[in-house]
Formats: sequence, C-alpha cells, structure tokens
Amino acid sequence: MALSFRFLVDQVLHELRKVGGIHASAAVTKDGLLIASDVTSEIDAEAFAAMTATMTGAAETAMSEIKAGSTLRIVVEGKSGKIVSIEAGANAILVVLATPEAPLGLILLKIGEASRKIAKILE
Amino acid sequence: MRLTDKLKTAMIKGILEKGFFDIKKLMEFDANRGTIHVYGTRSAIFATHDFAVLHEAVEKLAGNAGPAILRTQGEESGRIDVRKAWRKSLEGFGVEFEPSTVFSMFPVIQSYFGWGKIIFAGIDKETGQGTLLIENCFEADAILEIRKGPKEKPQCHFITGYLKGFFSEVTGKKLNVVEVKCKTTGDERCEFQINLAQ
Repeated sequence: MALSFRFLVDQVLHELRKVGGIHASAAVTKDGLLIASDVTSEIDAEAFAAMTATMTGAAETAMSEIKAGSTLRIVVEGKSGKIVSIEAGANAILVVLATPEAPLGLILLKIGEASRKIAKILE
Repeated sequence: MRLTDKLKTAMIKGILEKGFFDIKKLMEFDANRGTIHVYGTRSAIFATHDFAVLHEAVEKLAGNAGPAILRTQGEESGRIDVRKAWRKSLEGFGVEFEPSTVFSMFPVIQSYFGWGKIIFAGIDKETGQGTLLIENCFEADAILEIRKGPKEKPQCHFITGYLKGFFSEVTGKKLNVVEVKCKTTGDERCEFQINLAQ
C-alpha cells in the first residue's frame, strides 16, 4: 500500500519533468520528511525536503505575522535557477526546481495541477 | 568482536550499570576557566526544559517545519558524537570501535547522561536495526513540563534525529528512525523504530 502511493506520487513528479524548464521536483511533508523525489544525485533529497519545509514554514509564519492570509505559493529566484513550492493538500508540499528562464506562469499552472493530484493521492 | 573486547565491554557496562564507577570521573571541571570536558569533549550543562523552549522557538519561526530543524540538529549531533566522543573514548578503554561494542554500551552511557532509561528491545547489535525504548525520555518530559497537555503527534524530534545520525554513523549505513510512540501523546514511554532507509 505504502509503495503504491509513493509510486503514484513518483509518476506525478516524472510528468513534471516534461514541462519546459523544470528539472527536478519533490513532494515532502510539512514537517520536512521526504515523500518522493525526482532530483539528480547531486542533491541530497532528504536534506532538500527539510529545507523546503523550513522555507515554507518560515514564509507561512511571516505571512501570518503580518496578517496576510494563507500562503498560496513561494517563489525564490536566483541567478542560476528558481524554486517554486506550493501546498499539496493539508500536510504536504510540492516543490520544483526550474531554470531561470523557465516561464513562471506555465510552471505555476502545471504545479497547481500536480499538487491537486498529489493531494488526492495522499488523502 | 574479539574475546578481549567482549570481556572489556561487559566489564565497562557492568561497572557503569552497577554504579561502581562514578561517571563524573570522566568529566573534567575547571572552575578557573569555566569549562567542563567529558571524555575530552568541551561540554556544558543545560536544563532539559531548554529543549522545550527550543521547540517553541523553531515552531514560532518555522511553523510546521519545526521538527525538520530539530531532527537535522539531532542527526548532526549524533554523527559528531560518534566521531569525536565515542571513537576517542573506546580508544581510551583500549577497545576496538565496532557496532556491536558501541551498541552494547550505548544504553547505559546515554542513561548515565540523563537521557532517560534506554532499552534495546530487539535491536540487532550488528546492523543497528530494531526497536529502541526510552523511559523517562528527557525530551518528552521537558515538553510535558513546559508545554502542558498531551500532544497529537510524537515530539522527540531531536532524539529521532540523534538516533538516525548516531546509528548511521556507527554502522556506515543510511538508517531511518521514526518515533512511533511518545510519552507526550499519552504513551508510557517513547518508542523508536530503526530501519534501513529505502
């Protein structure tokens, strides 16, 4: 059973690779445990899961502090890449890594769809 | 494990368990410099409730991700303890560093350091896999002292990370640790499952 839901999440992550500019993705719990990942061996997936949860958690508490409502997504843009994360159900986060020139609108559209699929699998 | 090592390990364990040896003798206090060393490792004594305060602080800043930070801290501490303290102290006792030796002594040493009573319930002393129980777990007790009321999920994130780092470093394999029962959720004692990472 555990393997099958991980397999299904893996499939959603593999699909994301087909979106231009996305080169890695992961589904993690809000408290930082790795559910599934599609990342290169250069990235420590478990550490990245903890970092993603920390980044998301810190953003959520900051938004809460300034009474800005719930966090819809987090986008971090760097010179060599960008990170986009979004909630995937009540207890999970979907995060993708993309190239700097990857179109943000398309990424947001595709990860929105993927996050809903993951939320359904994890329900 | 060599026969001499087995005997030495059993002796050290027995001496510590029966209280014949005062573990404070392994500590060097220097009041002039204001330092404490345990087995040559610079140490400091903190109240256990500081851990509960740390839990509160990371949750305040990182929200749901608090456990991830505490586990990461614990994992690195566990690895460093193996590299810096355990290897050195076993050398000091003239015992070879082997998983079976370390795992034979781990429960009694950590219990001496106030972590609670550590019980190996079916831990394989070669692979480190199995179930570990802690009665009077310091992290759970600290949380119950500062943050009143039972919790929904296990809370010993530092210890979970520490066991992962410690056991992985000793065996040289990537292990996963999950706290399946916790005193903070109303269980009698904390219970950790240690398995090979997938």
